[in-house]
Amino acid sequence: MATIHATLALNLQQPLLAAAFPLLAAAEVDALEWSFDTWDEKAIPPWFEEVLLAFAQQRRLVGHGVFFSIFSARWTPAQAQWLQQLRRLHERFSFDHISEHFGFMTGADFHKGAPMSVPLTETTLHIGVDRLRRIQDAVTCPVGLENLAFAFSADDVARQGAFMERLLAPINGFLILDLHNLYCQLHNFRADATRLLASYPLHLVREIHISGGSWATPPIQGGTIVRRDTHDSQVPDEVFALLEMAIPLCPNLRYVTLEQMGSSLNSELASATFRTDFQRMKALANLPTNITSSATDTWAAPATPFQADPATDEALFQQQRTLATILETSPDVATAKERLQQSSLAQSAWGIEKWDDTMLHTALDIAQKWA
Amino acid sequence: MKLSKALLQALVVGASLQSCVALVEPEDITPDIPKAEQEVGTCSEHTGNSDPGEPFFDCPACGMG
Repeated sequence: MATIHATLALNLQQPLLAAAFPLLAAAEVDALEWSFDTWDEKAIPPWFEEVLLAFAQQRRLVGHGVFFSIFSARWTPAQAQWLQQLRRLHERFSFDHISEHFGFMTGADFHKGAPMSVPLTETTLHIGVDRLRRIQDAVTCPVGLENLAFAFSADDVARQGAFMERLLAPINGFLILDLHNLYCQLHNFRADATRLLASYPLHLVREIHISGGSWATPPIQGGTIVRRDTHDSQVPDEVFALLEMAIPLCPNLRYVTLEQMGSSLNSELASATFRTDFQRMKALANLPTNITSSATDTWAAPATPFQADPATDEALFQQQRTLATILETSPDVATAKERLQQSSLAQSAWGIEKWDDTMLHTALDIAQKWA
Repeated sequence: MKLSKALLQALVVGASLQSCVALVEPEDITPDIPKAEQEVGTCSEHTGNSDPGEPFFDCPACGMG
């Protein structure tokens, strides 16, 4: 098995930099992941750029996008600008790979909203592949997607892995397997870990994410406590157990990454726990496994270019706007359900009739938080 | 991966990490560095993604944040 880099998601937040500094000074961090679209590229402080370049020069810097919204069914100028920025940043930092997230952003504004799942149809597949091809065209490194934590129904959860494999195949893309996202789905849908892991194309996993999260209790009669991927606490033992289980199943794994929000690193204890989590992650990444794979990177750029005109679907776009509006403006689940049933999403591929009330409430929370 | 002392020093100055130096005590990193201009900003200063004063990486990307 190739070397697995113990990686830190490092962004421009003082508490995060402060918590990470002892790990950096002790040379414990093998690689960095940087969310390159979360900061004005012209305002990157020189000292931070130097840190990024030091890792980039060793091919140990990976880029993680947040705002491209690969399933938005209308092509926007902001997406074109995002690609131009990515092209410039890749020339500057030579990312070892680039990744984005599964889903579409609910916000009407490019930099707002939260990602939501989409119907897993040929239409969304076509749009997703088109967007991934455009990202691939902007860079000379592998492009990947991260599994989404949120799901409206158990059907969404069961089908996401196979759908991602179809999305990634045309670009020889890779999967970021976020194990806390998986943990959310295991808890929220009472799924089986072995079966859910096996539903993902594990041979495509090049990076694993771990993080902490939080519990929420939606005011739904008969509802259950929801696990949310808020990145604001230490990594649970259950996620470390998933990591131990997943590593031997992922023959092309290169990076294992710890994510935590700087705002949650607000005490010495929290910072020390963050570092302990990193060291525990690194120890698991360094364990020997029996799995064999090529020690070299076998990725090759896909031969098929994208079409000149971006794939779009106006009907799907209108449904996405309708859903976003309902999620952002409904005061409660009952109102949201009523509005959904009267919308074009009813009796459609969205499958709203199967949506879990608890998860619909969670969607309202998330969409209204980030609107 | 090992970073040079100059780079670590730049990080200490740039991100105002003076208090962290005591945690690691590398030989040539000076703890008494005058506070640098605060270059570590907030989301709203550089991304337009959040309310003024909000730390940026309260990131929605995972979909459950």
